[in-house]
Amino acid sequence: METRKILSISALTILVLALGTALAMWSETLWINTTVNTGEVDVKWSEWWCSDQGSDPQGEGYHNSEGKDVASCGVSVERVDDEGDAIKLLVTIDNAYPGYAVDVYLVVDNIGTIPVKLYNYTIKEPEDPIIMNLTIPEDTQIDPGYNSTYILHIEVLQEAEENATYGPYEIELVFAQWNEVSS
Amino acid sequence: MSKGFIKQLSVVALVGIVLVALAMWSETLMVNTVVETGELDWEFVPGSVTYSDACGLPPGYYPLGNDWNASYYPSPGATQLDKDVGCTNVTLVDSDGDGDKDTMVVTLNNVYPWYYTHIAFKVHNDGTIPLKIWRVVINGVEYYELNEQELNQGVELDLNDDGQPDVTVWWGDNFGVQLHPCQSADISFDLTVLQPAPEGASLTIYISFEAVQWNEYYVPTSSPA
Repeated sequence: METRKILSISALTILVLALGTALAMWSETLWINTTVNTGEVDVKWSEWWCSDQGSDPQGEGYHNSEGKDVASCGVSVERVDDEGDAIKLLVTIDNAYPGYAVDVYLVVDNIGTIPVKLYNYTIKEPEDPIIMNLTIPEDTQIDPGYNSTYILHIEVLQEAEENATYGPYEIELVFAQWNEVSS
Repeated sequence: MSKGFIKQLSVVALVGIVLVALAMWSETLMVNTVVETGELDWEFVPGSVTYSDACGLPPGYYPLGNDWNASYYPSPGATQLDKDVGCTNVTLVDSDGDGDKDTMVVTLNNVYPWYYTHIAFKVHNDGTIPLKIWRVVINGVEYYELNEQELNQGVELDLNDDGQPDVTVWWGDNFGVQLHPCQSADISFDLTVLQPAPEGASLTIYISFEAVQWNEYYVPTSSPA
């Protein structure tokens, strides 16, 4: 009986020693914390101007050799986003007449941190006697901090009525991150 | 692989593509364009019309109502006679009700061969677009300039189709003159009744006087000479 007790105590002691050794084993732990800071796709209209800076530009077949300034073209900001960036412009042409043909230069700035490309755009063909077309850069990619210029051509046709208001015609350009837009 | 399975796979793939497209980071810019046109408009200036031998003037020498004779024919110009037989009346009409006097009605009463009258008036650009005085159309014939043309010598008109001229019109110049909005110009023309004119008849001359916006002005190379 006495011998059994001694054996049990010895076994227990050995077990405790073994565990103690294991716990005291030299070790080093490494951690990895991961933080993902996403970038931003952000563009704005940064500059705009009309080719009509005085003498009225004319369409093909019309002439203004005298350099008359009859119609006017102006661009203003119609909407800004939460950051105060211009995202919608209003082009207004006043006192226009058949033959008046103006180009509106629209500069898109990439103010985000991700390169963008033009994903798609919509410009409806006016049913009115007005020609509108948009010239798009060959390469629509804009890197952060850079810009790209689009040209909106507007021309009043002979069939236009006097004292009339045509429009508004809405054009929409959607820019997306470059790697999701097939060239 | 069954057809049904392929179809289901296609639908799933399509939905996946649409979802990716919808979820794509993007930013939209817009432009609204409004075009407001101006107006090309001109009129006879009320109160600017003056003419020789107005109906209602008492007989007598200038400025009274004795008749004028085309003494220098075929050139324009006249001398005043000692009689008051015929007379000239001119009124301006707003034919389309837009507030502009767009029609001039000239009536020669009780006139006779070599009766001569001179009518002067102002035209006014009351639109918003510069215009140029383009042409005058006399009984369907278009005239774009005076120099080297029949109009410079006067146009003889056969108004009763008997092959004989009844009236001569001399049109003043001002072709190609540009009028900016609010500007005006003086125009005049002369009329002479010719020998073959029928007695007791009412003869009508249709003259239209046209302006175009300045950037479309041209003179056809085939205008009447």
